[in-house]
Amino acid sequence: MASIRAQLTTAYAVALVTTVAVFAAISYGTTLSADRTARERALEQTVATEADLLLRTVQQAEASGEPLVTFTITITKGKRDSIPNVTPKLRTVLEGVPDYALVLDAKGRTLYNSFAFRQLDQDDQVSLNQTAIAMRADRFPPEAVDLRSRRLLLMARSVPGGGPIDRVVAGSEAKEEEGVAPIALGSAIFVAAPIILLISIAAAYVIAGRAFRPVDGIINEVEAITDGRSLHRRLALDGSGDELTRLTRTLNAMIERLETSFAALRRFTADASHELKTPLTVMRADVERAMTVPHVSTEQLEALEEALREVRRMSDLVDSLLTLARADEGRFDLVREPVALEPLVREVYETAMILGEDAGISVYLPVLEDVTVSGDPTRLRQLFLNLVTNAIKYTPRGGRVDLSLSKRLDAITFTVRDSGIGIAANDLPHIFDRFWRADRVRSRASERGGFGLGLAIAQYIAYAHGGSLTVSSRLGRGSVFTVTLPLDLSNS
Amino acid sequence: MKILVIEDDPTVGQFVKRGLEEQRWGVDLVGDGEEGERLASSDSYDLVILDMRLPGKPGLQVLHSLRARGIVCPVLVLTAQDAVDAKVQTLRAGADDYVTKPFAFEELLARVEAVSRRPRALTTPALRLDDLVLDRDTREVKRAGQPIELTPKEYAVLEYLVRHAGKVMSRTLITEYAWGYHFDPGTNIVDVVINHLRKKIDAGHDRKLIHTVRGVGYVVKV
Repeated sequence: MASIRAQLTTAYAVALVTTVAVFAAISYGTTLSADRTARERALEQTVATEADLLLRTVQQAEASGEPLVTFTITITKGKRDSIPNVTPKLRTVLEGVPDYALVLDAKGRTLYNSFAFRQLDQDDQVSLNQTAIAMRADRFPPEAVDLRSRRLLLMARSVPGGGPIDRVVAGSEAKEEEGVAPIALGSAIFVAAPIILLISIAAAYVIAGRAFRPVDGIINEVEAITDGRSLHRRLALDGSGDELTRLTRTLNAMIERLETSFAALRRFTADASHELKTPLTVMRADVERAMTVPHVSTEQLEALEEALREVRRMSDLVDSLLTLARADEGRFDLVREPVALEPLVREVYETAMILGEDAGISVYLPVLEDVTVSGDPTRLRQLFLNLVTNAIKYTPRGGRVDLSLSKRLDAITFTVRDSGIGIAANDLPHIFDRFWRADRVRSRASERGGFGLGLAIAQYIAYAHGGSLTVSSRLGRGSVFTVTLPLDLSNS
Repeated sequence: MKILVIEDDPTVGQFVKRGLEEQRWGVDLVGDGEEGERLASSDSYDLVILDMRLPGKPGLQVLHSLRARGIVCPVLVLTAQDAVDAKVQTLRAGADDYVTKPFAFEELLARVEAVSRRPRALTTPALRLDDLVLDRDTREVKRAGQPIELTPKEYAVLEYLVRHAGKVMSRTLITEYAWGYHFDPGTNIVDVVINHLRKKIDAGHDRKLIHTVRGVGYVVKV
């Protein structure tokens, strides 16, 4: 994610969602179990009442004196057995008892089971029976029995008096019903949570933005300061002593060190270039004087000419370095005077034709209208000649170079279009860099390359005039260099 | 014309002194600011050539002192500072013109002439060599009375050679004269121009005026 602001908001949202979810789950769970406990209590009371009712019914029936249970005596293989039978009297009485009811004799044999009991499947009937026999009578709360199909609460009462009926067992089903309160709570959470979440995220975004506004300010200021010309400026301190103040102090210290080292570098370049000028003047003076000595031999002249050429190249390099060092400081040492471009471009055109004649390249210039700019004629000539020289240098024999000068509303453009080898796309961003040169093989081997400062200087000249120098090119399709200069409206 | 050269570097000083003496001017050379100021104050010079970086007293202070004393003779400043503000400073301090190092003697001479406003022998409007005539005002060129059309660069090269007739002029000097300091074509552009000039000046004439000095440059002579 791009900004810390967005990251913070996201982290906050995740934390919030987690908190809300956990809280909702806990409160829902608590409400649910509290509800279940209340319902279970009520059921326990019901079962106890049912058990009491069952017991009373049996006792009343016993009190009437009529026999409730008859016995069928059987003797099988010498063993005597008596099988109890419930009389219709008791059966009629027991039919009025609701829910699950069991009546057992002392041997645990079932004397009666209710309609609800009989609806259970066989396995459940067996396990319910076993529980009823095993459970201790007259104990509250009732015992829970988990059958396969349902959960029952059972309560046993013993029937005193030593009659054939030993105990009665009442039971009631514990139904898993959703309470109304949990449902209401659940839907409340479900609806409210997203709304709360949205509001919270919006609030978090605003708060994060506010917290980071000073950082944005610092970023903008640092960008403005480090554009290379404003290193003397410092960030403003708000004096609050928080993290941002410390960051600002650190940045200020860093900018100061940058300023110091940049200044040292510029001073070195300027000093070195400057110091080189005097020895170059001396060398040049020596060479020029030696060339005018009478009776100097051709061999000596040749050596002196070689020396002079090198001195000139060195002088040009020193001049370029010094110019660029000053440009880095934002100083443009330009003469400003009205410059008529038509004669200047004609002169450049003538030079281009001379160079083109040697290199087998045609040079074209359409009819010009005269325009005047405010500028430094020496530097503008240098700029134009540089572009023309390059165009010829990187165009193969038989190619063509087109110059043009045109006037627009508030600017003039001078273009140099060649049909040469062009510039590779990944080289294009670097061609105005200092000391940068594409593959040296590109220029004709017989020619000696420059120092790689020509286009850097050319761009500086255009820039110092308030204009620009741009290039468009495709490998193998030639290049177009365009100089744009603001029109001197006071002279037109 | 008497010229005072205040320049601490002996090579540059001697070079300037001899070059000016070749123009038959009287030249005194001193290498110290205070000494230079003392001499210049005597008011016996027609022109002072003043280096800006001097031992004893900086050139700018010498200039200020001279003007403060009412010395009005033209002062031509030699400076390694080609920054505009430095140039403006020297001109405001009372300099009449400046030459930035490294300079070609040709330029220094032209500025000395301009500042002293004294045309020397060479600056007569017409240049002549044998039957070749160059009118420096109209830039018309004639050989044996026949007008010859020259392009601006052809004219510049020819004029430079004729002005130094009899002397071998190197390609570097010719290039610098016709195209300025910042032009480095990386090829011998002068040779192409000389070819044109030969066709226009020498073709059809028995006496060739333009001669090649292999490896060096060209000389114009009868």
